[in-house]
Amino acid sequence: MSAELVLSGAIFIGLAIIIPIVMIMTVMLGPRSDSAAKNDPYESGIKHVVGHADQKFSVKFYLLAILFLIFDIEAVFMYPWAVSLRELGVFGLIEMTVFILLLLTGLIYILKKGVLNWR
Amino acid sequence: MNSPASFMDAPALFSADGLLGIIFLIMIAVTLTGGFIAATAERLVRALAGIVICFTGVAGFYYFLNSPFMAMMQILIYVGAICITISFAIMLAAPERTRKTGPANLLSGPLGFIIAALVFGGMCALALRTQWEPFAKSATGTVREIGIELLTNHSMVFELISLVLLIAIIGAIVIARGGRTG
Amino acid sequence: MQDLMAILPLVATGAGAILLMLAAAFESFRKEGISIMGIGLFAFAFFVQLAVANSGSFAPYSGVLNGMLATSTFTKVAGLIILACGFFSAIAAQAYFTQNKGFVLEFYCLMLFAACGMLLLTMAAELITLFIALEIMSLAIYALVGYDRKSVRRSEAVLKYLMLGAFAGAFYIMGTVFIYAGAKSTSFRVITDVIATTGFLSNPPLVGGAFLILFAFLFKAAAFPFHAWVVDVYDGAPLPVTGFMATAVKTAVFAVLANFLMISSDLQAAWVDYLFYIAVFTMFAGNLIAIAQNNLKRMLAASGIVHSGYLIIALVAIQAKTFTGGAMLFYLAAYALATLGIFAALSYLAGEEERRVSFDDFKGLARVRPYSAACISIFLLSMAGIPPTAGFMGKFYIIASAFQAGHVSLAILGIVSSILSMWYYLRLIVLMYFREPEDRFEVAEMTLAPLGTIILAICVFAISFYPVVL
Repeated sequence: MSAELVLSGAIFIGLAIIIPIVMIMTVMLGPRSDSAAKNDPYESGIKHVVGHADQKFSVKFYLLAILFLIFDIEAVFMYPWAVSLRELGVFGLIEMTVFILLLLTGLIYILKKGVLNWR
Repeated sequence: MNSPASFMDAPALFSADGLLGIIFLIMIAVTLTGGFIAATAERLVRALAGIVICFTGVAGFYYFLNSPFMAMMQILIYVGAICITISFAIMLAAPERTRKTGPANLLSGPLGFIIAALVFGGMCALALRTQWEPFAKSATGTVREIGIELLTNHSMVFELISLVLLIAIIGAIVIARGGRTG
Repeated sequence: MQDLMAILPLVATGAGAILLMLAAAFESFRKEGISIMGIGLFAFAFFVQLAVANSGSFAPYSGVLNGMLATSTFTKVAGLIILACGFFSAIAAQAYFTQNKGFVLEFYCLMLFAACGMLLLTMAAELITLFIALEIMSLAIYALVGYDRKSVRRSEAVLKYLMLGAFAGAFYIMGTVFIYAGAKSTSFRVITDVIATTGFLSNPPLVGGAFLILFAFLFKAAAFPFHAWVVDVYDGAPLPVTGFMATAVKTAVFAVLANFLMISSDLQAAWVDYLFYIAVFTMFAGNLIAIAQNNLKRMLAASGIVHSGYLIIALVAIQAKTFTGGAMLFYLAAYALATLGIFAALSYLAGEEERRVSFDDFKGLARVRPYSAACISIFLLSMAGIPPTAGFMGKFYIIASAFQAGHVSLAILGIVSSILSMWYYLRLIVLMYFREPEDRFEVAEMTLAPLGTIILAICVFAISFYPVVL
């Protein structure tokens, strides 16, 4: 137990030293450039980034966020299964397959509906 | 055991329990601050930021209560995904510059306060009257245990969760696109 | 094997829903094809449920899938009612969408998913399963109410329902947490044992948890303090969905309420006093709202509140030792027949974009469409509880069970309420028969919905002969 503690402590201290060094090195060694285009805030697909945060959006963004949320939850449920994979054996695998297959039909539905087509 | 814990029974500040207590208090502070910001913010986006802080504090509680899986879910799903979705939802709505939508019902404020006070009082009464078991005894909640429990005893619930997600997919697409085929 | 038998109807509805979803995704069928498939799948699920209900022993079986589900005659019959509601709502929907725009291919798929959730709800014997079932049902119903984003009324309805439903869900899950704290389990069987050993009132988390869970159920059942959403939501939803919500959701929720109260007679005894007042207030609040309505859909919504009140009388009168749910199921079946019948008739009579929905729109219907008017009158008389309809028998059984349980005042208040309710039911009949028609009631040609209406009207009389064990 204490060996693990020492090891993890060493890793944290190591990181605490390495990360600032790397950051300083990039500033010192890397090439630099300043231009209007580079300083312009950029967000994919959104033209007016500067201004009020509450501006109108396309519903496509929202659908994408919802679908991300749903598959995110799916991924979270795979985690406890993955951790106890050996104890659960074949039965767990079958259960997970059913789970994934059910959501796969959902994915097919999404694809056929053309929700992911960005037009 | 029956008498409520007094301040004098509190552990020393720099013992392990004392440090845990300080972390716990920080979590409470984070959660309450976030909740306060969310409830009082004039702008929806700021309220959302408050919710993010609040959810992070709650994730801390889960971790503190020996349930790292719940903490992870809270961060990943609530702080990560749901708050992003809410931000999209806010941005979908028309930007409203006018804040007041009309004269509020005179009764609704006090009535809401009374109901909230009743709920709070009920919860307090419940918490004080119950003989809680010491924390360490009920400390099961590792990811492995949850996985085994979820896929053996609660296997049906596990499969049903995928059904819920499936309906969520259909519902989201049907409502957002209004049945349009693409 | 018994496990498999018990979940067979669930698998049938769930698989049917996924099939319809894929059919909608690949657009392999048009509107008519999908409608026929939807109706057919509901009929198939109904017969599967019937076969399951008739096979094997009728004895309560509490061990399905590690005690996650429990089946009994009560749950099986409730499942039959739910699937029949789905079937007739699907027929109503088919008629509705021949005249109304805005059909989505996923409509029947969502209905089947909702039915799947309801079947689960009736069988759930564990709080987490119950929650997931509640969510499956609710999510599908939200989508059914609000699928038409362009309609402001639909959007308003779904927003109200969703927000309040989310609150109810939060109450439920909070209650589950407390019950888990008190009983160290979410399984009904274990909770029963815990209450038997420690007592109910001496275990505060159990009391608080049961309190919150019953709140959530009362919300879904549209009982008194939580009834305000019903009128707007039922009014905003499309007609067949309103019919489905008013009947199938109510059946599922009352089945689960009865199952929950049946966990322990101590629990039920602790709640009887509150349920008494909730029943009385629900009946009279519903009546007051219904009398004030000029819109038929809103009146039916409000009368749904009143019928929830009668069903709560049945809950008060439950006797844990001898519970069969007979009175409750009979009432639910009678109410479902009448309500589905009216909504099926309205689905084709309301015309394009739900043109005819107020009382005045149906003036003189009997002259133009005598059969439809006769059917609607039968349904209204059944709802009002006039013999020899099923509604009368349903009320009779419920009031008799209240007498049996010694709640004489409740029984009398139930009778008073049913006399009050005649006002708004008979008003429509008077309008239909004793006024000159102003409208020619032209509707698109269709066969299924009128046929379904007539079948339901016959059933209103037929099921009165079904013997019920109180």
